[in-house]
Amino acid sequence: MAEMAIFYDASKCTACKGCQVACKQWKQLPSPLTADEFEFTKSYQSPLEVSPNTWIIMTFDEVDQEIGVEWNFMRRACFHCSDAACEQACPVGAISKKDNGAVVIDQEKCIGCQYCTNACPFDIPKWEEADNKTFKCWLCQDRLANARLPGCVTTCPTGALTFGERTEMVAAAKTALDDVKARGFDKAELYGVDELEGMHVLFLAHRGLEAHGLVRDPKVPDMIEFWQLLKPLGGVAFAAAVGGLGLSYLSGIGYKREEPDEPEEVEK
Amino acid sequence: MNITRRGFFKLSGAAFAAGVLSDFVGQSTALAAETPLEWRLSDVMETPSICCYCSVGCGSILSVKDGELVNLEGDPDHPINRGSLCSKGSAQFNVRNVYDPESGDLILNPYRQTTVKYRAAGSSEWEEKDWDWAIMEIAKRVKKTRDESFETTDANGVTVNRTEAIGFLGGAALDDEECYVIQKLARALGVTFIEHQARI
Amino acid sequence: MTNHWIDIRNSDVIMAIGGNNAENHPISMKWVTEARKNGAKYIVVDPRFTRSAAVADLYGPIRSGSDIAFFGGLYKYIFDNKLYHEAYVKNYTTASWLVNPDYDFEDGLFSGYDEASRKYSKDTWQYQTDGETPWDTEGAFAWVNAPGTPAFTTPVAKTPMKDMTLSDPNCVFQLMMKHYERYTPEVASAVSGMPLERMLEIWDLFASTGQPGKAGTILYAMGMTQHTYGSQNVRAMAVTQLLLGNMGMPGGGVNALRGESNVQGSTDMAMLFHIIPAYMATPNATVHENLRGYLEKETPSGGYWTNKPKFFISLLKEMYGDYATEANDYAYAMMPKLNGKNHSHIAMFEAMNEGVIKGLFLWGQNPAVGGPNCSMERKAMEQLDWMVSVDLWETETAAFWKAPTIDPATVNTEIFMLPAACHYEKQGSVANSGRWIQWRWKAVDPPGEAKDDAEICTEITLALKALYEAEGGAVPEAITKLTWDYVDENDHVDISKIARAVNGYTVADGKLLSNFTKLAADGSTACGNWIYSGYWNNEDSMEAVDQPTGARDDTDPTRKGLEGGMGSYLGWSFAWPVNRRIIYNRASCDLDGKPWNPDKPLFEWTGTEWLSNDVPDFGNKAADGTETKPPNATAFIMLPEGEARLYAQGMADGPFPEHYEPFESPTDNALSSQQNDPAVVIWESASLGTKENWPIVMTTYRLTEHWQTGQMTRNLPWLVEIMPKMFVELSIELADDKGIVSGDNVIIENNRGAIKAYAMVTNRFKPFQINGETVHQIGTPWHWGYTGSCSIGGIANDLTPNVGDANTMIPEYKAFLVDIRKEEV
Repeated sequence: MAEMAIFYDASKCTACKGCQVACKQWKQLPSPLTADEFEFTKSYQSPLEVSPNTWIIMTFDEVDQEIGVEWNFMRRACFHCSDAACEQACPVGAISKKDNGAVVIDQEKCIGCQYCTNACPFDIPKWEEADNKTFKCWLCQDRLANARLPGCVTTCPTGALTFGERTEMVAAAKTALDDVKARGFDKAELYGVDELEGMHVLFLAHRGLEAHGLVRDPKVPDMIEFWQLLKPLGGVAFAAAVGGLGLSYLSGIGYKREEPDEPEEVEK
Repeated sequence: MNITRRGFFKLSGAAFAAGVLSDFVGQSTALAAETPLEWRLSDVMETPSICCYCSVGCGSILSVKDGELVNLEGDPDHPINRGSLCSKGSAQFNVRNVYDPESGDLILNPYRQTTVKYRAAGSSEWEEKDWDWAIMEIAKRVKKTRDESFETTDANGVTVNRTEAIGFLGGAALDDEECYVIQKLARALGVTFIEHQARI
Repeated sequence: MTNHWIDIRNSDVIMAIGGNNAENHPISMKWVTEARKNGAKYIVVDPRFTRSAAVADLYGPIRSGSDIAFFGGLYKYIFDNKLYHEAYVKNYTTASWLVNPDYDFEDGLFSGYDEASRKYSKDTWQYQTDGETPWDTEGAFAWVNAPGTPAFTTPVAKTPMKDMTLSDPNCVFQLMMKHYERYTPEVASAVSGMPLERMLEIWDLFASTGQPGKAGTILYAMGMTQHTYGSQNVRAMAVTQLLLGNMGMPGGGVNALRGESNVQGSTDMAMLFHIIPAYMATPNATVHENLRGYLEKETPSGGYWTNKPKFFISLLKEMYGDYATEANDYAYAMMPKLNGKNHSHIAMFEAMNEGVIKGLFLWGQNPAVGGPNCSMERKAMEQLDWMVSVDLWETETAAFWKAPTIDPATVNTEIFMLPAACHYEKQGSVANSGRWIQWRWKAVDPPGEAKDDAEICTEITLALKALYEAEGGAVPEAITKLTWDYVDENDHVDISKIARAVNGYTVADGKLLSNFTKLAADGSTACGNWIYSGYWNNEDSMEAVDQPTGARDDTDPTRKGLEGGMGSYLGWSFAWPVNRRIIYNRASCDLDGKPWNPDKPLFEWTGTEWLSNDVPDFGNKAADGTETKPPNATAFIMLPEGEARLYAQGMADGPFPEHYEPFESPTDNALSSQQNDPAVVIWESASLGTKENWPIVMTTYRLTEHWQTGQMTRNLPWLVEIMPKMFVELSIELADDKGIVSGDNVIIENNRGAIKAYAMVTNRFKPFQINGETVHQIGTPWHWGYTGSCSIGGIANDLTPNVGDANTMIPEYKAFLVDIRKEEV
């Protein structure tokens, strides 16, 4: 079974958020029905963060220019890492890496311990109190099994999102990188080709990783390796016994996403 | 894509059964998950439609199961959008159905109006009414207003057959055939204040 | 659109101005992206840095309301640098036509202005002519003699005088060059606020499409039209495209990105006071006292509209069937006559406010949020005796008596709120911006007791027919004789029967017409909308899937002898007229019939025949079926001139676009002493303000995540989640001045109202330098109101002025004055 990947080309993205809604549509994820459950985000980005009911968001970062700005968009959802900290942190084997590259949480097995939410270098998995389960993108395994593209890729108007065998996507990403450099985007970089032993979502950040809010050189927290030694000692019972310990080890070591820059902080 | 929906569509008229549709031909076996997954779109009827928002005219495919809408995606055969939809297009589903934040169940959008409502003069609330009553009461008011205000000739003796006491507004969200009959009714009544979103 | 969405991919340069296609027509970016793969450039001109600007090759900021300064400057740049497409301009436009030597323009006024009436007499604007040709009623116009055709005096064509060297001082080309002498780059930059260097870059890039074979397209929307000179803004774009030879070209055109899924169709169907279906004038008592008068006033001497009597009589036959006879002038009397006054949206609410209008039907429209100065419009609704709102939702209009400032006990309006089906709970066709009439099939039954609008309209009509049959009343035959054979055996509406009437049929046998060329003026044909004729013409089936409008061939085949893949998709749906995808398409070839761009041929004359990738907009075949040799170069067949108008006498406010300031402006007009468009009607209720009191320019716009007055989006939880609150975008400099930070509650106000919004402080708006002074501009979406339970918020249109365009009366939503302050807590 071939490894697959999504390729997100930020230079083609208009941040229409079609992917945000298409994901919710396919996954049948609810949104609040009343006005007071929403806050003003000070930005076009909304919500500010992924959540158990929202698995993809578009991020908006603004860099001032003499005329206009650079308005830099990024797709924020699970990166489906090969070196997947969440999978390594899960004490009950609820998170698995599929042969096609997807990193998937089995909600039947999830015990809501939140180790994964703390281990993820990108702060992606989100725990829901009501069900005591953790949720994130599962790369539309059901659609792939039925020969359909992931929901987000299907709906993308401009081809900013494409999907295919990972080797082909890497090649496409490299071609796209050359193209945008030829158009004058000197700081353009790829992301996900080598990071964390290769992700199954690849990115072209045409204005550079930082401008698009990507974390340079993400790492699986060191603590995870120690944790890996302990984990075989026992499944659920062990987790229950040392849960508190594990949580304290793992909490706070992952990347915590900052709120989007407020424009008044932008240097003129 | 070498299997299109069009073939199915031609065969079965307005709606067509979901068949073997492939976004990436030849790869489906390579992509199969290890364990069979529940497939949301088994036993659905699919119907093509056009988006209700802007005027690009994107196609969408609606999946209906047991008489209820269960899925809405871009129409992969549509030459303009080729399966893609923006955020509003993807949210067309919500015009009818939403997922209950508490139970997760598919429910009718609670803000949709599904009964006839009437607000009496000076009242601060709606009353539920039935269609027959409403249509007859509306017809009576139209007739009264029209008959009381109708001008058959103007000061120059020109036949004008008009009423300026009734206004018609709207239509940009409706179908062509609906617009045609609505303006036809308005003009037959003698209405001259006919306007819609295109003006503003 | 003169062209269509997919055709954007054929462009070399795409300019979005007065429109924000990435946000408001997101799928258009699929085709912009395709064009860019082939090296096309994408320009975005907008007061605010938008998501379109975010992906543009060139972005130019422009102050709202200064577009004619920008385009006037572009004309001068094109003339000064000889960048126009000379062969195109000479042969396909009126550049060579001579104008009355008494035509004049001075200090903002064209000749013939009458200040008291705020109107122009157009006598001096006319062409010079040197001969007359009456209609040949034995030949091409023999149809006027057919029995049953109403008698009318046929028009006489006047022969224009031309100077093909374009050097006569009275030729349109010379007059135009003279007119725009004042529009120097420096003036255009000072008026528009666009930095000079950037403006020149944009002009240079767009004018590069003037090279033969290159194509540039302009994408625009309400940012162009919602001004007191909005029609002239549109002319300004059209004239640009003519100078550069971009009209009729694949990848060219002037492309209105229309805002609602069927606003094209609803306009085609004439849900407007001034037209009846398919763009014929509404009869007006002051000029069309009888059928003869209508035909004589409305039938032009040349161009395709010479067939108007056929279209008009066929419409009357559709409306009144057997009752419409030659003897009663085809029931012309039943058609209501205007009184010579404007009855457009603004006037309608003025009339409502005065108590003239007693009853109001709303078919999915929500003026309590969408109208200009709409707190005044809500107030006007209190004068109504009754209102019928047919909608999916409880709109602010249906619930105007619940508005925060209104006491329901004082409102005596009876309101009927009828639950409507949504678009996929019924079937029917919709016309997109590219004029594709596409069928929407019904997927699911409406919820609860909801019904589709056609059914509701039919029930009301049948009830009225019964009442007038039983009781009589004012001119009852107007209703009792109205044809309404659109129902099945149970009196439920049958959409296919409406489609049949719209397409047209032969009265004698009821057979569908293949297209509008079969229409007659003698009462033998009936047709509800001639430009739709052909969309439903398959006699063998009444299923949409078997009709042209329901066609779903998604291939883009190579036509005989030509390269294919032009994106025409002639087998998908039906484009009006006659399935033509790009109109004025004769102009895509030179006089000899060779395509300007041989790599993207719509047509080509081989020496013996015309090859085609589209339906020709010219006579490619003679009546006997033989191929017509070039030049047959009448590229603009709808105009009596046959050539495109660089100079338009039909405009109320001048034959050339001239820059005026918005009625509320932060500056004095730098181009003349006429501050405002001199032909605009001014309403007192507009409560116009001045820059001294209200120094900040404001504009309104839409967001990807919401739509129109918000009922179709603020009630959808997925969309509210991705854009939850009403906000105002303002620059960092203005926010600093006002002590505002992002997230503050602010008040935006002017003479017409005050609204609340969250502050979104951003560099996407920057202060403009206008005529030497700093001018701030802010903007808000207009999607919020007080019903729609997922999200409510301030109504932007409480601030917009009810002052309208000189030609169309579209309100000046896009440029007006306000002030902004932090809300006191």
